[in-house]
Amino acid sequence: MIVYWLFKILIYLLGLVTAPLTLLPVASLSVNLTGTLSQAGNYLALFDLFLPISTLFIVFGIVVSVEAGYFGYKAVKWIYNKIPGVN
Amino acid sequence: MKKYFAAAFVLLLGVSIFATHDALAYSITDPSTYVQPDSIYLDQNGNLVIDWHKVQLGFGGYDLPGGIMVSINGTSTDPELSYNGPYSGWSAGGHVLTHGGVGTGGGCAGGFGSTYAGASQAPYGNTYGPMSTVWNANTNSFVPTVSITQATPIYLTFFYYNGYTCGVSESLPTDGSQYWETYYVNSIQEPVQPVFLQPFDGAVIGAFPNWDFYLSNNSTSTQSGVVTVHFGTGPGNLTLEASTTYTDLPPGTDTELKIPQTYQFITPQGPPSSTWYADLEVANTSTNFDITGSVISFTISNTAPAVAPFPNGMFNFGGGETSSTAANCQFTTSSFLTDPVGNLEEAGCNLFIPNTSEQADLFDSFNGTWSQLSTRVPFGYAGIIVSAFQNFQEGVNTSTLMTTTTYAALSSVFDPLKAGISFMLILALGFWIFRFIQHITL
Repeated sequence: MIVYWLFKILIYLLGLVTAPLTLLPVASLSVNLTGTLSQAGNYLALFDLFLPISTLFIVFGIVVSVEAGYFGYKAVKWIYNKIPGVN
Repeated sequence: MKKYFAAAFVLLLGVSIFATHDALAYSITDPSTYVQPDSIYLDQNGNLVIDWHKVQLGFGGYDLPGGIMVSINGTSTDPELSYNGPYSGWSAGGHVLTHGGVGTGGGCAGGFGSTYAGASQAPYGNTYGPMSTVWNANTNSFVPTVSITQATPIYLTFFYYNGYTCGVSESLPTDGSQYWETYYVNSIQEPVQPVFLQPFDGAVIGAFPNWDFYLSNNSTSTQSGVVTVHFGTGPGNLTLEASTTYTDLPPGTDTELKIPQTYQFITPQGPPSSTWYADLEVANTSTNFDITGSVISFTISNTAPAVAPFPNGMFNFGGGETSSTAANCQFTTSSFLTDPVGNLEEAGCNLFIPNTSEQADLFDSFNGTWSQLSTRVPFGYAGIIVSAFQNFQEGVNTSTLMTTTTYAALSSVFDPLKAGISFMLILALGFWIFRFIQHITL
């Protein structure tokens, strides 16, 4: 019960803080973009016959995740160092 | 004063006469007066049973209809059910039940009610049936009740007999539809119920070795039959199948069965993942029930394990896995004096851990807040791009340059080549991570 109401209040506060963002318009992109990606996926399927595309994507995903995490860490650290009195 | 008493007496007398008249009169009423909700079902032998409530009147008698007409898939044609014409009605109208004494007065031939469809002759009981066959208005013939599903419309009406004319009472509706009412079976007491274990509904799974399920024998006798898995790429396209027989399932138990899975879901030239649909059909030869469970869907992925974990709350009778009941804080069912520790544990748990409905409510609340944001700029762009990329590596090879046949001919070359490149890629990733950690500056 206690945890439930804690989370309930947190979600309510989150909704309150983000309420102005709901006034923003709904995002939409040209269907050509998603269509292009879908078509590119079909072309990629051809290469999947003799290249390990799934492994390639997994490796690529890990590299991007690690780099993004490192970049995020440095960004947070940079902001933290800007706080007066720190360092 | 006497005038008032006289007026009151006359008024009371009038009301009494009307009440008596109403009570004694056999007024035909619609079936809903008798047939209560949740009272039509197929029993474990596939027989149709209709529970109905007799109506107690003020003089100790029951307002009983002379019989009940039951048909499925439409009302039975009613010209036969007309004054002085009960005999043709018996043969074509689907009179399946009646209470005792019908048609025996006035020299009428009796016994017709018992000759059709396993008619019940219990005159004052609360149950009509069990009926093993029922009139099908579509085919104009009696069909086994075991073929009834919960989507089969069942039509009911009541009628009275006139013993002097050997016909139905004049008070009966004769237009064929006036008092017909539509019902559906509220429950089918299948003796055997199938439940998928592997793959379960919504599972993401690799090339699994067996169709795994259990059959729950809810009856009091052993059951035998054939169980078939129908599967395919669409819910209405379950053209592939695998089956096995089961014999003498012990009553009141759940038995795990497996069918070897031999279909090649994943092919080198096919997409790395695909969605499939399946259902379980149990053709129970002990009772002639042929039950098909609901259609499940699952995703076959070449990167997923061949055995998916059971979803929360699912009980695997065969494997002995149980879901945790701690989430719902069920520590004890005893009173505080009998089990004080269990009650205190349960109280403490209830205080801190949200129960299932609270968890669902929290999820809905958070999901509602997030869904309002996720489609707005600029977050919405990310969602669109991510969903566009989701099927990126699941494209379909439409090229004529490298067809399935070509690939099959060259697979002995390509497969080792792909394995070798995969190994090199993973090795390179390992080196990269090693170098990254070596040179990282925090």
